[in-house]
Amino acid sequence: MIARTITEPSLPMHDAPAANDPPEIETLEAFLAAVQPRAVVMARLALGSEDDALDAVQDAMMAFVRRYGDRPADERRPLFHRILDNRITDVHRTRTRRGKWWWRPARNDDLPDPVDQATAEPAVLPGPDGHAEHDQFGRSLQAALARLPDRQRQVFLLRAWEQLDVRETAETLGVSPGSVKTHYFRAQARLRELLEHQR
Amino acid sequence: MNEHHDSDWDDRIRGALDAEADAVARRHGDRLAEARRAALAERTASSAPSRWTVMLPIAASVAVVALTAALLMPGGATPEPMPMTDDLDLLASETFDLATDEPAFYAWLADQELDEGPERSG
Repeated sequence: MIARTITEPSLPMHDAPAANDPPEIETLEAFLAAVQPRAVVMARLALGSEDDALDAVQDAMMAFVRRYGDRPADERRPLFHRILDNRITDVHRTRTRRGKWWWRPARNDDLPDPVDQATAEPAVLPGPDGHAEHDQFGRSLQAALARLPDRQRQVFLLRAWEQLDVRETAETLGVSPGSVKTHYFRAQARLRELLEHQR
Repeated sequence: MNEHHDSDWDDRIRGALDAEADAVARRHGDRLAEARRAALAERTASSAPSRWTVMLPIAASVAVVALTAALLMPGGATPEPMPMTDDLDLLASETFDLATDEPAFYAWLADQELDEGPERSG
C-alpha cells in the first residue's frame, strides 16, 4: 500500500498553496483538502478500519488526480466518490480472497445496539457548551450508520452530508435515481428509529 | 412538522459528521497532508510530456524531409520502356499474315461476327 510507505512525519502541507503555483493546482488542492477527512470517515464506516480507510482514500486521491485532475470543479466530487466507492469494493474483494472477511465489522445485525453502546460509553462531564452531549450523539450516529446496509449508508452520506443531488448520487454509485430515492428514504427512517432517543 | 423535512435533525447529523471529520483531520494531519502531496505530484508527473509526445513530432519531421529529398533527387532510377520496336516491325511486315497460318479458324471467326452483329445492336 502506498500510504504505508509514508510512516515518518513530514512537513505539513499548507492548505493555501504557494502564490506561484498554477491556479488549477490551487483549486485541486483545496478540493482534496476539503474532501479528504470526510472521505476517511465514509471509508472507515465501510471498511471498519481507520488505517484501511486512510489507505483507500489515498489510493482514490491518486487515481482521481491522475484521471480527472483537470475536470471542472463541479464534476470533481461525484467523480472522486465514484473512485472511492470502487476502491472500497476492491478492499472488500481483497479481504475475501485472503479470507479476512472477519476484518469487516459485522455491519448489520451483529453490531452492538447503538443505544446500548452510547449509554455504555464512559460518562463525560458536560462542558459549558454542551460538548458532552454532542460527542455522545456523534458516537451514537457512527454506530447507527455502521448498522445500515452499505448502499443505504453510502446514499445517505452522499445525499445528506456531501450534498450530492439524486442524479449525481446515482451516477456515483452506478444505480438508478429511483434506487437512490428508495435507499435514502429507508436510511433516514432507520436512522430516526435507531436514534429516536437522541432526538 | 413533516419529518422528512426536519432540517434541525439533518443539521444535527451534518454537524456530528463534520465534527468527526475534523477529529480525523486532527489525528492524521501529517499523513493526510503527505497523501495530498503525493496525489498532486502524480498530477505533475502525468501532465509532463511523455517520450512519445516529444519524439513523435521529431520523427514526423525527419520522415517529411527524407521523403521530399527522395522525390526531388535528380536521376532517379526510372524503369526503361518496354522494347516495342521488334513487335511493330513484325506487324508491319508485308509477309506477316495471320490468316495464312490458320485459315479455317479465321473463316469461322468471320462467320461468328456476322451472326452476332444484330443481337449486339438490338
